[in-house]
Amino acid sequence: MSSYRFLKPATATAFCAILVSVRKVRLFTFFLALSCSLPVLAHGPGDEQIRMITAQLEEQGDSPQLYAKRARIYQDNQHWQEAMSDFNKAAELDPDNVDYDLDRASLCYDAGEYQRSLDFVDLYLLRREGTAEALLIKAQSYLALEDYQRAAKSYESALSDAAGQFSPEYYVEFADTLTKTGDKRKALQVLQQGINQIGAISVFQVKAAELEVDLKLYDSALKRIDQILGQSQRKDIWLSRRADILASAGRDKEAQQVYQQAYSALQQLPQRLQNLQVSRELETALLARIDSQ
Amino acid sequence: MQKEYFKAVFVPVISLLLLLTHLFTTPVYAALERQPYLQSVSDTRVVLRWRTTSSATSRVSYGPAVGNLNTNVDNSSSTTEHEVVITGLNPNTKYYYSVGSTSGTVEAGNNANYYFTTAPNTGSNRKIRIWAIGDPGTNSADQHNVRDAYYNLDNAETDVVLTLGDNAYDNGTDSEYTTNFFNVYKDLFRHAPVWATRGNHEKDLAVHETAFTHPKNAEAGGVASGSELYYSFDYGNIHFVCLDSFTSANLNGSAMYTWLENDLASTTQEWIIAFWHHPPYTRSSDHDSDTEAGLKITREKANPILEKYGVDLQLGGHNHFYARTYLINNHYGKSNTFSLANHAIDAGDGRENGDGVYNKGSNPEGAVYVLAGSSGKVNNYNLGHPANYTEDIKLGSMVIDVQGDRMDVRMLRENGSIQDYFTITKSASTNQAPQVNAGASQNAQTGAVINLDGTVSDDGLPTTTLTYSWSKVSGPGTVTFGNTSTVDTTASFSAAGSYVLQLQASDSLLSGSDSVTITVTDAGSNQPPVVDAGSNQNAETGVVINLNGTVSDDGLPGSALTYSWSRVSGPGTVAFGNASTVDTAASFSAAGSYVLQLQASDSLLTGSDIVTIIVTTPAGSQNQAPLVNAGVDQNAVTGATVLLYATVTDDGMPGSSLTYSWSMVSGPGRVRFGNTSAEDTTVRISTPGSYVLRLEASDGALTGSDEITVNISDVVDPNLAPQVDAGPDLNAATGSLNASVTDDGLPDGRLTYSWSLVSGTGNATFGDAGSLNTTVSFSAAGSYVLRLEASDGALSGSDEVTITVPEQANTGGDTATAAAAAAADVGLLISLLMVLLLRWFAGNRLLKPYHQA
Repeated sequence: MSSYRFLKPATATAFCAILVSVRKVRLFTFFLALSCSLPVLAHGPGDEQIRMITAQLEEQGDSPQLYAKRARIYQDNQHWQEAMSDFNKAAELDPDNVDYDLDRASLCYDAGEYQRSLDFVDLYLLRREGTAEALLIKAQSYLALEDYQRAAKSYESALSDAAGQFSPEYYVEFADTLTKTGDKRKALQVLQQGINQIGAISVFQVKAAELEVDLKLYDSALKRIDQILGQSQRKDIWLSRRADILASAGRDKEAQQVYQQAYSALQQLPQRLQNLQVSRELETALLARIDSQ
Repeated sequence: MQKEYFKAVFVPVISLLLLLTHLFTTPVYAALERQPYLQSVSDTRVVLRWRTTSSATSRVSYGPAVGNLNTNVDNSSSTTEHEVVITGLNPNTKYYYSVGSTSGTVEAGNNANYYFTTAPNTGSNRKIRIWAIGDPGTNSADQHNVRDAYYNLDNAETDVVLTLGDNAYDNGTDSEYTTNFFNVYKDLFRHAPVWATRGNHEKDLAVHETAFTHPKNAEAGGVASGSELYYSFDYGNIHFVCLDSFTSANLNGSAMYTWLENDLASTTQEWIIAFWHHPPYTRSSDHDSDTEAGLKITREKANPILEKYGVDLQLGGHNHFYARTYLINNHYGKSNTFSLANHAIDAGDGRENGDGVYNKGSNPEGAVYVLAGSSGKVNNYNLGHPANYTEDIKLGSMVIDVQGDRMDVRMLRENGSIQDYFTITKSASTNQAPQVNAGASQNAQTGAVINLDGTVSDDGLPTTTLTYSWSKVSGPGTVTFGNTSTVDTTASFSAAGSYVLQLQASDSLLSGSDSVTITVTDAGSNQPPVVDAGSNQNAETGVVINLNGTVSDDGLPGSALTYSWSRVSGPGTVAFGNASTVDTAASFSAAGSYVLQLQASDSLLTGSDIVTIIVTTPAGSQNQAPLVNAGVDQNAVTGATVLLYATVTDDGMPGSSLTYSWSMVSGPGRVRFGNTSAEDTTVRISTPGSYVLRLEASDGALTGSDEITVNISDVVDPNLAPQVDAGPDLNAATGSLNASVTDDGLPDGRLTYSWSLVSGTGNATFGDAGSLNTTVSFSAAGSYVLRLEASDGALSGSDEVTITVPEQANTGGDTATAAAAAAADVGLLISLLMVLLLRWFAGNRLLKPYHQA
C-alpha cells in the first residue's frame, strides 16, 4: 500500500481522519506511517520548541529532518515564510526525499497559495503517481480555486487509490464538489457509496434526500427522512422536513397532514424545548404552512 | 527398513518434543499491560477493553455478585488488544466481572474493585456524577495530586469520566498512553467508563483510535456520526456531545457540523453537555481564541448550533489553567466584540450563596464554557478574556453532579479545595407580578377627553392573559373612562383640580399597579404658556451663542412663570449660561445638530418649544484626509487568491462614513478584486509580473491613499521576496521608525535595507537610511511618505509609511537647531570654566614654570 503521510494541522490531520483502511493491519500501518510525518503541534509556546530544534541543529549540524520538524512548527504558527525556508533547506539537503514537495504543497495550501500548492503537488505526483494524500490536497486546492471539475476528478482519483473505506468527510466533500459541477446524480451515487461503506448515517441521508428532492426522487427522499425520524427522540423537526418533501412533490394533502403532525409533536415537547428559538421559528413556519391551506 | 525405523522411533520422539516445546513456550496466562477499562456504556450494553503482553483469547465473566459471575462472553480470536462487547444488560444495574481467556484463566477481577454499572434509562432523573480532566497525561506529581484529590473527595460513584484531550504527553504514543494515562487512572477506569476527545498532542491518530471504542453508530444513544472522533451518547437525562476540534473541525464543509445539527435536532434530553479540546473563549499568551484556528473555528461553527438547541455546558482544555464564562449566549466573534450587556444571559457568579444560580427554567438560552486544561500541569500565562467570570492558574479537575433539573459544577484543586463553583437549574420560574406603567402626568381641561397610555409587561406566568383596570384614586370630581378594562383608554373630568388615576394589571394570581396625575383646569380659564424658543441657528464648537426665547401667558393662575432650557438631542454636551431664564447663552462641545427645548410653566400648566442649532468645527481644526495603509507587499503565484488587509484611520470629520476604492495602478495584466469597495479584500491575478495596487479612502471631502506591490510569478521559485512592513502611519514630529521585515533566507540569508523619501512638503533626514530601524527628522510641517525597501539580493519588497508632521510641533530641523544652540551653550560654559581654571592656575605656583617655559 501507499505510505501516506501528511503535512499540516488542518488538511493533513484532516486527512488522517478521512482515510480509514478496512483492515486493521493496514489501518495501523497507514497511521503509523502517517504519524511519523505528522507535524509537531505546538502546545507549549512554539518558540520554545523552535529554540530547542535550533539548538539541536547547532549541535548536530544540518539535518533535513530537524529542518522539516521546525518547519512544521512554524507552519502551525502560521509563519509561512520561515516554514517555507526550512522546508526548502530540508529539500536542499535531501533532494531525493520527494516528501518535502508534499510538505511544501501543504504549506502553500495552508498559506492560501493554492496555485502554488498545486505546483508542488504535481511535482510530488511526478514521482509518486496516484498517491491519495497528494490527490486530496490537489482536490482541496482546486476546490479553493473554485475549479470544481478538476477538484472532482482529483477526489475520484484519490478514492480509487486508497481502495479502502473513507470517513464521512470524504464522501461529503466529494458529493458537494460534484453538486457544484451540476452532476447531482453522481453526487448521489457518491453518498450512496458512503452509505454502503460506513452506514446510513444522518449526514449522508439528509444530503442524499436533498439531492433526491432536486432530482424529483421524492419517495426515496422520504424513506431516508423516515429512517432518521424512526431513530429520533424529537420528531417535530423531522416531520416538518418530511412534510416539506411531500409539498415539493405536490402531494399537498399528505403534506398538510404531516405539517399538522409536526405541529402536534412540537406542542407535546417539554416547555424548555418549546421555548428554544429553533422551536419558536419552527412553530411560526408550521402555522404559516397550515394556515396557507 | 530404515524408513520403518524412522517411523517407529523418530516420529513419536519428534512429536513429543514438539508437544513439550508447545507446552513450555505457550504462556498459561497473558500478563496485563493495560488494566480493564470500560467503554461506550449504555443502559443495556458495555464494552470491556484490556491489553495483554502476549496474544490470547478473550473472556469476560460477569454477574450480580463477586463469586457469582454466572455469564461468560467470549472472543475466540487471539489478540493482545482485547475488546468484549456485552449486551442485553439491565439499565442502572451493577455487575461484577473478571477478564481472562477462554481457557478459563482469570487475569483480573472477580473482586469488589471490578464492576460496571449500566446507565440509567434515558431521560431518568438519577443523580449522575461526572469527572472531567483536561490535558492530564504528564505522569507527574501534579497529575497524581489532581487525581488523588478527586479520589478522596467523597464516596460518590463516578458515572462518566470525560477526558478533554492531550491525554498522554508528549506525543500520545502507545507507551505514553499506557504509562501516562491508563496506568495513572486504572483504579477508576475499571469501574467508570471514560469518554475521550482528541487533543493536539494525540499526534498518532491510530494510537488514539485504537485506545478507545467510541459509539460511532449511536450504540449509546444519539445519532450515528460514522466517526469515533466525534460522537454523542445519552446517560440518564444528559445528552453528551463530543466534537473533534483538532481535525474534523477544520475540514471544508465538515460533516461534523451537519451531524451535530442532526444530532441535536433529534434529542429531547434535559441537559446537553458538549466537550472538545480547543476552548472557544481564552486570550492567554499561549493559545488565543481570537486567532488560533481550532479555538476560533469551533466557536464560530459549533457554538451557534449548540446554543440554538440549548446546550448547557461546554468543557475544553488546551490551555493549562482554569477558566469559565458567565452564562453567555450568541457570542461568536473576537474577544473585543464581547460585552456583558449583549452576550451575558446572567452576568452573576452562578452561585446559590452568591448572585444566584444560573436559571434556565423560563429562558433556555445560555451556556457556561469551561476551560479545564490543568489536570496535568499549569503554565503561567497572561490571561484575560472578557467572557470569563474567572481565570485561575491552578491545577485541578471538574466535578459535575446532575440530578433532575439541577447541575452543580465544581473546580476541585489538587489540594482538595474548591477553586470555583456554580449551579445551573432548569426549575420553572416563580410567578412575578405584572410590571405596570400608567404613563406620564398630563394636563387637561374640564369636559375634554384625554388619552391614557399605559404599558404592562409580565413573565407570562401562570398564564399569558392579563386583566386591566383603570380607576380614580383621588380628585375633586368624577372621571369618565372610555374603557376601564383596557391598557390604553380615554378619560374626561367633571371639575378642575388634581386627579390621581390608577392602572392595575393582574395575571390572575398577582397584580401590579401604577398611578398617574392629571391636572385639570376649567375650560376657558388658565391656558399653558405659549413658548417660542427662537429661530434655528448655526454655531461653532466652543463659541457662545445667544438663545432668544419668548413666552406669553394668560396670567393664570397668578404665579410667576418659570423657565427651563434643556438639550433634547445632539452629539455633545451643551453649556447654558442660565438654563432658568428665557434668554440665555449656550456653547457646544462637539460638531453636529442639536435640538434644545425651552419650557415655561405657570405652576399648573407647561408649554414648550424647540430650536435647532447646527454646530460646526471652527476653522483651524479642519478635516484631515484618512490615513491609509494598504498593507505589506506580497508575492504570489498566478491565479492565487491574495488577501489584501488594509488599515485606515480618520479623524471622523466631516462626519460621513469612509468609502474605499481599490484599483490597479500599474501591472502587465488584469487584476480581479473580490470587492473594490471594501477596506479588506482579495485579488486574483493571472499574468505574471509586478502589480501596484492602490487603496483610496475618502471621508466625503478628502481622500487618502496608499499603494502596495504584488509580485506574481508563474514558476515555483523557492525564494520569496522579503515581506516589508514600514510600520504604522504616524501623526508626529518625531521620527522613530519601527519597521519589520521577514524573509525566507534565500538566496543567501543576507538582506539590505534602504529608506527613502517618496514625497513630502520638506526634506527628510534619516539617521541611517541603510538600517531597518532608524530615525528620521523633517525640515517642515506637513505630510511625508517614506519608503522602506528590503532586498535579498534577488528579490526586493517595499512598503511605505505616511508621517504627518503637525504645524505646532517641533520639526527635526528645529530640534537640530535647538540641539545645536544647546550644544553651543554648553560649549560656552565649558570655555568660561576653562578660562576661570586657567586664571586660577595662573595664580598658582605649580603652574608658573610651565607658563614661564
